[in-house]
Amino acid sequence: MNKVDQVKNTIRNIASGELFGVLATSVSDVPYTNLIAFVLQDDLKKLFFATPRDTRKFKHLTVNEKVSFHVHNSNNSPENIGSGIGITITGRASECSKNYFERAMVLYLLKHPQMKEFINSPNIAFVSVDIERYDVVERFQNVTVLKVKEQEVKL
Amino acid sequence: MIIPINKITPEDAPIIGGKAANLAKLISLGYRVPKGFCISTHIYRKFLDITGLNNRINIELNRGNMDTMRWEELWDTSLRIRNFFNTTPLPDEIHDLLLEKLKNWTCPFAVRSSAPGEDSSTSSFAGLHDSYVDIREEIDILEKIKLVWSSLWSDSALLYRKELNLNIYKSSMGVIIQEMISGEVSGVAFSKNPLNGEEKIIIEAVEGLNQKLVNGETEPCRWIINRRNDEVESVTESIESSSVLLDKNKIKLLSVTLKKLEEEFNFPIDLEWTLRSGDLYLLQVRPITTIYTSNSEEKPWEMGDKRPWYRSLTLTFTTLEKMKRYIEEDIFPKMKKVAIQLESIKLEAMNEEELNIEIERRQQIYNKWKDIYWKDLIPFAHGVRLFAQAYNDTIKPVDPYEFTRLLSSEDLISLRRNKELRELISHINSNKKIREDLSNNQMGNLDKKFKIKMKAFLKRYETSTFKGEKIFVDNHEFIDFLLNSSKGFNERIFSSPKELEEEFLLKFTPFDGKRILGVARASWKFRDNDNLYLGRIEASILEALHFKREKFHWNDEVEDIFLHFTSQKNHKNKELSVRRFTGQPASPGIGSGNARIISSPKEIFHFKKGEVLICDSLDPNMTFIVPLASAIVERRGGMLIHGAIIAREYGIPCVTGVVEVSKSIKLGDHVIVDGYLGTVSISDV
Repeated sequence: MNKVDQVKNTIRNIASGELFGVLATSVSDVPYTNLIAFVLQDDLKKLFFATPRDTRKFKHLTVNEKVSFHVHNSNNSPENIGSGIGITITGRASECSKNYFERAMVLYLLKHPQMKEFINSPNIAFVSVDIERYDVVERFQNVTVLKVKEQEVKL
Repeated sequence: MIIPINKITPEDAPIIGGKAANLAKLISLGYRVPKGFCISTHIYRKFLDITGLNNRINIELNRGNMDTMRWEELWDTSLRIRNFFNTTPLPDEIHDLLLEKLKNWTCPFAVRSSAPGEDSSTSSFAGLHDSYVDIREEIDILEKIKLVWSSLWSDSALLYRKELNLNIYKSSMGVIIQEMISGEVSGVAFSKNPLNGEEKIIIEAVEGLNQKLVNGETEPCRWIINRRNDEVESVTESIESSSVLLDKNKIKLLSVTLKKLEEEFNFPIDLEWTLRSGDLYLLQVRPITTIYTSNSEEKPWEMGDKRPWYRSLTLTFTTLEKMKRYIEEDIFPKMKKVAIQLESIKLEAMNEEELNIEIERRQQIYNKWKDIYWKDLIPFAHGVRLFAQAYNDTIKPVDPYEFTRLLSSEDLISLRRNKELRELISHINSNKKIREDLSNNQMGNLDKKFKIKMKAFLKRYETSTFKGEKIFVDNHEFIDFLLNSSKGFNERIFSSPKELEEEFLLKFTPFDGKRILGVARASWKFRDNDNLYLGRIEASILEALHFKREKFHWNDEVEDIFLHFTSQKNHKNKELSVRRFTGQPASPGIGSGNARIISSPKEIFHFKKGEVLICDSLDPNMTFIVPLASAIVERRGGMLIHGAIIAREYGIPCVTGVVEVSKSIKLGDHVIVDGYLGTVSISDV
């Protein structure tokens, strides 16, 4: 397995094992973070999450599409400094187009069936993040960057 | 994990529940028990895990603080959870496993709950979890298993667990599937009197199956037996007719069995039994439930902890039908008569002493009707709950509140009043001169027909009050309200949809379906009307108090009475603010607008089209502003509160049970109300 595939597998494993991650949005130089339930598309190109439209994060997205997202597998113990893996995603967010909506919803509910009632409200927007790069941090200080567009990840 | 009852060991109790463990013990002691098997809690857990229901239940339970939730909110929670079970199919793995097991058995079956922790010597969940008998189709058995699982989350069961400090998140459910024994005579029996703990054996029996007896739908024959000599001390029917059901020997058999069981199980026995061809079959055994009786002189609905009373509010349709007649033919006419009598009394002719006596008399009358309201009218609201359950269990709708569409009624007093108000407003819209005359306060020139209509409206609703003040008074505030509301006084949107009704009735015999629907519609209607009648009686006290304030001395004593009826505390916290709340989704839709908090009659008339109505509790007397609202938010929670009922009638989004609402939302705040999710957010734009 080459290095790219190893990194991709690491990302897939962490993203499928963790239910929640932290989304960062920003408007007028004021950053704002939220814990969200997410799902990552298997080709690693898109990340989906659902949010009510009357939230600060959604309003931010409509003004500034640039987002960052962080997920990690630490369990809040000191030894995680060495063994934990953290992944930071950067990309651009937009409300899912009709073409993607059904697919995103199925994918999302497979991972988060408890959110069935939540996503039924017309107030809920499905957001898709077009991922530009991954920063994967392992063994405390080792950072690997996977640029999605340049790598043209295809599976 | 599926275990035949006769193979259950005492070690299995934590995964098969107390009832199943007791049945296994009965078999080991040599009693006749119908054959069957137990579906362990592992399968229940597996069902929750595979379908993700555990997390969905968790979200529902965390919607509000269960310690402060009103009973109606708990009922809502329970209704939604039950619907999860109803609309979630069994995963193939569990479906196939159960069908495989069932193929070796012969229908019909009884499907009974058996939750670990229930029916111990210190607690009994008798009647709180569901059981079903005489189930003949395999597919029905699978559906009933899901319903038994869901009954773990019934409002009564949730309340009882809270009362006993049991961890509701750790609760689980086993299910017993038993072959039905169709006995000639069946019944229940107690080794002690369950009403007062007296050392008497009580036996109740009916012909055939005992389900109607267990459900309280039929009157059984009842024997009271002396424990020492097994002699009958009294019987509710004649000796001849009672001995047809149970002769002396059968009575003795039951009596001796109960005493023996009490020794073997070491708790007072509550037994379900049936007799077939002379053989006694024991269907289930558990400790006696103490039937709720208050020894205190305090009224149960006025106690600090109302939970035992709430749990007692489980009535059968038969009882509800009797209550419906009583309310329609007796209570409502009398309430109306009392209100009219009080309104006709001329206070102007009274001196101060006479007025004081009159105020006291009115308080006594009000207290009497308030007690009747709690004792008879509140429990009658249970009709809607039973209907909701029947509708959701048979139709399995995605929206657990779809049933309310069948309950809409033209007869709600508040809807009639709103219709009349809309007619006045449409006159203003269609006649420019009326508008001008009203705007310029040229009442002398006002169109005569309109003037008569307006006066008639004000007269008809002159007794409507809010916080002690009359609402409909011929003043500029009322006129301004009419003028300002001329654009956008919505019509109600719901009428009872025929297709839904037909679909529902098809699932029952025509008689049963209409019977259930009839009780439910009355229950829905009375819930609005009873408050308006009681409001009129309350208004008479306030009228007398206002009169006293204007004409005579106002002392501390009268001030206390006045405050009792009108006071409202509103604490604002300056340091903390809430941006988003979660309450109960009471009427679907999304609405936004500027908030208007209604806490006084004046504010009612300041309400403008498109605003979001925020209130502590929506008084039926002020629901005429609902058609103008873009959404409603209410502190009180529950599907049966007026805010919820009227919001659904007009198709306006509504969220109830938002505890902090009047503390955190300010006049003019832009709020967004999501009636699907039950959220309210204050926009910080």
